[in-house]
Amino acid sequence: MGRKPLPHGKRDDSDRSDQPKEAFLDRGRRYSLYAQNIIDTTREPLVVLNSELRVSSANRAFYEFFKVDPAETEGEWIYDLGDRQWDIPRLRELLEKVLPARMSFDNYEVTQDFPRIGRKTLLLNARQIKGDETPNREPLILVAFEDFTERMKLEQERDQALKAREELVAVVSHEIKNPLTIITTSLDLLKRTLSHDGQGQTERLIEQIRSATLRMGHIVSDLLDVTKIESDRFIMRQAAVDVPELITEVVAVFGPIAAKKSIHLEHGVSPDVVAVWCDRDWIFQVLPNLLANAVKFTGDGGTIRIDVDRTEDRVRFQVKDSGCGIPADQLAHVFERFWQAKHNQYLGVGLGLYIAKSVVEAHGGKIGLSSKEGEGSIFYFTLAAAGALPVRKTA
Amino acid sequence: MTTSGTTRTETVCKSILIVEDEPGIRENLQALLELEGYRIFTASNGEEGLRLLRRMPRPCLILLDLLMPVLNGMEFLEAKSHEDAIAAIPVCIVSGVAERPDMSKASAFIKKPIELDGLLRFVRSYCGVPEDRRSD
Repeated sequence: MGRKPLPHGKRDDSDRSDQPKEAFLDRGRRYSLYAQNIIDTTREPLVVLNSELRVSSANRAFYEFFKVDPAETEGEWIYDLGDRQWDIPRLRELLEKVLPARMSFDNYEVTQDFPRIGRKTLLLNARQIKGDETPNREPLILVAFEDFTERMKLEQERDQALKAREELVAVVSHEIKNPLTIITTSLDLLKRTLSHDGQGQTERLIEQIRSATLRMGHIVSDLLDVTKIESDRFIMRQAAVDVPELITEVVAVFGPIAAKKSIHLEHGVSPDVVAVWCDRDWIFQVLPNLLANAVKFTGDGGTIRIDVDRTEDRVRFQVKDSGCGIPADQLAHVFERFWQAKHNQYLGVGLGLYIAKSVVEAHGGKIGLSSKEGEGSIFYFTLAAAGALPVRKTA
Repeated sequence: MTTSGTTRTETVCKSILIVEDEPGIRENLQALLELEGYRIFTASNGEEGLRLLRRMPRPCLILLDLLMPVLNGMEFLEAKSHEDAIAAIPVCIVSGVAERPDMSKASAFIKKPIELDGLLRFVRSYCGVPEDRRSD
C-alpha cells in the first residue's frame, strides 16, 4: 500500500525522511504566524473561549479596547471578567448553547458600564470553532465585539432632530392657517358686501389678495405634506376606495377652477374599474396635483381629460392636457423637489409633483409622464386594484 | 370633503351653531352664512358651545373648531354624545390640524383655510336653502 500522495504533486523524497516533516512543520508555523498577524492587526476585539467559557486567548484589539491585560483575562471565566459586566442572563443563555447545540449568534446588543472605559454599546457575534480546526482539537468559541456606541448616539440625535423639525412644521403651519382663514373669509365678505364700482378695480384687488392667500395656503400645506412623507413614521391608512366616486368628487372640486380658464374638463372611467387599494386622503391630493399642473400648462379654452382603466390587477389613472407641453430636457426633472416650468408664473414652491410621486411610490405604484412641446402632456400613475368594496357605511 | 348624503332637508330648521375660538373666523363665518339666509349662533369654546346647544332652537348643523381653550373640539364631541337631546345633531369639523381627526362622532371635516363654495355646498346639503334665498 503506497503512502498517501503529498499535496500538489510534490515528489516523494521519503528516503530523506526528516525533510518532508520539517517542511510540513515549517508550513504549519508559517500559517500560524500568518493567522496570528491577521488577528493582531484587526481592530475588532476578539476573544476565544473554551468549552467551560473560560478565556483561552484574546487579541491585541481586545486588550486595547477594554484596557485590560492578559493576566487578568486569560484563564478567567467570561462572567468573572471586569465588574462581571458580561454576567447577563440572556447572554449566558446564548453562550451556553454555542457548543452543545452548535448555535451561533450575531448582533447581540449589550449596553453596560465597563471599568476604565465607561459606558459602551457593543454588538456581539459568536460562533463555534470546531475541534478538528483548533490546535488542541478542543472545540472553542470565537466571540467578536463591535463598538456600536458612536453609531447609536448619531442615530438617536438624528431621530431627535427629525422629530423636532416635524413638530416645528406642524405647529407653525397650524398657526398660519387661522390668519389665512381670516383673510380669505374677509375677502369673501368684501366681495359680497361691496357695491360694484364701475371699473371693477375693487373686485380685481380683492381677487388678487385672495389668490395670493390661497397660494400661501398651498405652500403651507405642501410644506406639511413633505415633512410627513419624509418622516420615518409616514403612515398611510389604506382601504378599498371607490374609483368612480373619487373621480366624480375630484371633478366637482376641479370643474370650477378649470372653468375659470374656459378649460373643458372631461373624464371617463372604464367599466371594469371598481376600486383601488389606497389611502384616500393622500390619493385625493395626487389627482388634484396633476390636474393643477395640467391647468397651469393649458391655455384658455383647452381640454383636460381624466381617464381611468385597468390591466389585470393594476389601475391606471391618466391626466391628459392640450397645453404647451414640457421640453424634452426637462422631462427627467419634473418630479424633483422645487421643479417648476421655467416660463410659468411662480405659483408655488414646486413641491406638488414631488409629493405626488412620493405618495404613489409609497403605495407601490408607478408615476410617469410623456409630453411633447406644443402638443400637451400626459401624466399617469398606477395603483393596485382592490377586490370587492366593503359595505358602505351610512354616516 | 364627504357628506353623509341622507340629510337633504326641506324643514324649517336653518339655525347653525359655530364653535370657534378665533374671533375673526367666528365673526366672518357668521356674517357669510347670515348673508346666505341662515340664523347663526356662536360660541368661543366647547364649554360655551354645549351650554348654548342646550338652550337654543335645535340647529341643523354645528361647525366645530378643534383647538380651543376650556373645552376643545374632541372633548365637546365626547360630551355631546352623552346627552340624548343633542347627540344626533350633525357636526362638521373645521380645523387647521395636520392629521385627519377621529371622525367617529362627526360627519365631515373641512380644512382651514376654508374654501367657501365647498362650505356653502356642504351647509346647503344639511340645512337646505333658506326660504328667502330660494329664488336666487
